[in-house]
Amino acid sequence: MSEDKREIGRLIHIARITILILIIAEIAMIIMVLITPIRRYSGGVEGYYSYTSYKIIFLEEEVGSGVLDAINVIVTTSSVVNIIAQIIVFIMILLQREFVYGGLSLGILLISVTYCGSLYGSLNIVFRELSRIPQVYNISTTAGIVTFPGYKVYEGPIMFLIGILLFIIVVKVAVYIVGYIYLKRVVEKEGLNNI
Amino acid sequence: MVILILTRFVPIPFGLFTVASGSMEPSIRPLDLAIVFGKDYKVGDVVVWCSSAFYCVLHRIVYISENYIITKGDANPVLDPPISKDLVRGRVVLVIPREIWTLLTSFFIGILIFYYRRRVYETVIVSVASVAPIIIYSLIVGVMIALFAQQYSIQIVHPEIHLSRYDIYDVNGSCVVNISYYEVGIKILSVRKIYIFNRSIDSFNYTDNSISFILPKDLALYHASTGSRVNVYVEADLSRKGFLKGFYQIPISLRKPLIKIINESLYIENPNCYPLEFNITWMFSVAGEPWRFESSTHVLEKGSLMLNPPQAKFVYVEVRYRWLGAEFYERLYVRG
Repeated sequence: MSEDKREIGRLIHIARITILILIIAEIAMIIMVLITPIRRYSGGVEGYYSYTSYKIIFLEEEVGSGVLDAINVIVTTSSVVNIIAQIIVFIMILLQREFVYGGLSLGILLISVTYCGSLYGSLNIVFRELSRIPQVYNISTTAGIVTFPGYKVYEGPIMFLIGILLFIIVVKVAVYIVGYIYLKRVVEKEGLNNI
Repeated sequence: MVILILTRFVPIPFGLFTVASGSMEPSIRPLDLAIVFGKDYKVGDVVVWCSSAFYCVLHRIVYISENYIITKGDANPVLDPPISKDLVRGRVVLVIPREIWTLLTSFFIGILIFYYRRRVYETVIVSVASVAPIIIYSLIVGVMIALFAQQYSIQIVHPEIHLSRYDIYDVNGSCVVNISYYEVGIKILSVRKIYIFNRSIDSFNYTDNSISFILPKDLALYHASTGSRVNVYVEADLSRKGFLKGFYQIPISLRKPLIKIINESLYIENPNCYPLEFNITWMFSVAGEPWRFESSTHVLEKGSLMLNPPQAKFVYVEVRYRWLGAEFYERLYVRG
């Protein structure tokens, strides 16, 4: 019995460490997602867009967008809420020997999944909004031929980062769920407390 | 439930679909359950077609062609657009009224809950704890979206510049060419080059929306005499990184010179800003002698010229000049 308990304790310890590392990695990845430019422009259109800020200058005239402002506020707020939630789970797991309030911790961890979905959804809105920036074209009018410089668009590695973030979240939640179910079964079987 | 979801995403010729709208009333009502099977349909059959996993239509066939079918809801006044046969999921073979299938399903779920009540209770407790943080998080995000959702999008007006007018007008006896523009979100920053034909014009003025310069006298004389338009080529830097190359053919003004005899003197007036060249030939004779001729050429800029005739009893004057591509000739009686 004591051997089994030691084994269970060891597994729980590994699961806790893994989850803690994954939470730290997730928070770091969220910060990277926030500060990494999603798009950069050069030429006739200059500037960048990231989740925290943007500056887009179309032919020397700064462009404003309420939609992008709103996305920035919403994503930043939801990121902060998610980070705080993950820190709470981190502390909960760090301070407790077992998976105390397992359902609650699981729920908080699942926020990350919702967060990742909202991040991806907002990215679609961002791309749709940025596609409203028109092509810079040369025009032929009665005044003559007016030429403007074209512009280049550089895509940032945002999809890659969100992919990594999603992977971290999935692994984190999976480890937690497996650990939680396993522990719950053990508790039901062996009658361990404090779970 | 599995079949209900599966048929949405997998193109199998069997499936369950719940009706969402009243477009087929009264035969099929909202929330009725349609069982779909097979693809052997004909006009009059009710079929389900899906353009995507999230958009399926259950309507009656009104027309079938080789590749397309047209459907229509019984309660709809208009036909649906033609859709490819590939999109048809199958023919509706049975419709279970909503009263029956919802009752049966509720009864079945009730039995399951009763049978597994302890497990359900535990699951609910855990689920509430699990779902609560997500609900709180979603509420926060939802409030943020509600506060910031109705916002303006990017609206960019592409800058444009058009020719407003051009003209050549008189400023203190000089011909000044003025080219005005109508601009939208753009202005002239600097002028790089101005050419008239292939002659560079070095002195010019410009504002945000106009360019002006003095037309050289010799070119003005040339254009006035030939009647050709002044070919102006302009290169200008515009704001907002724009660059303008303009070519304009500007007509010269059309005010004919005045030639007349005043007090036995020849009076010529050039009302234009450009100079004109006059060839004047005096014909004069003393009584009994043959006609004598005296010619001179005068380039008259804006203004007037008074020429006295030679001393003779009989005097005529011939004035020739080229103006707007034609040669004009006038013979005037002076004296005698």
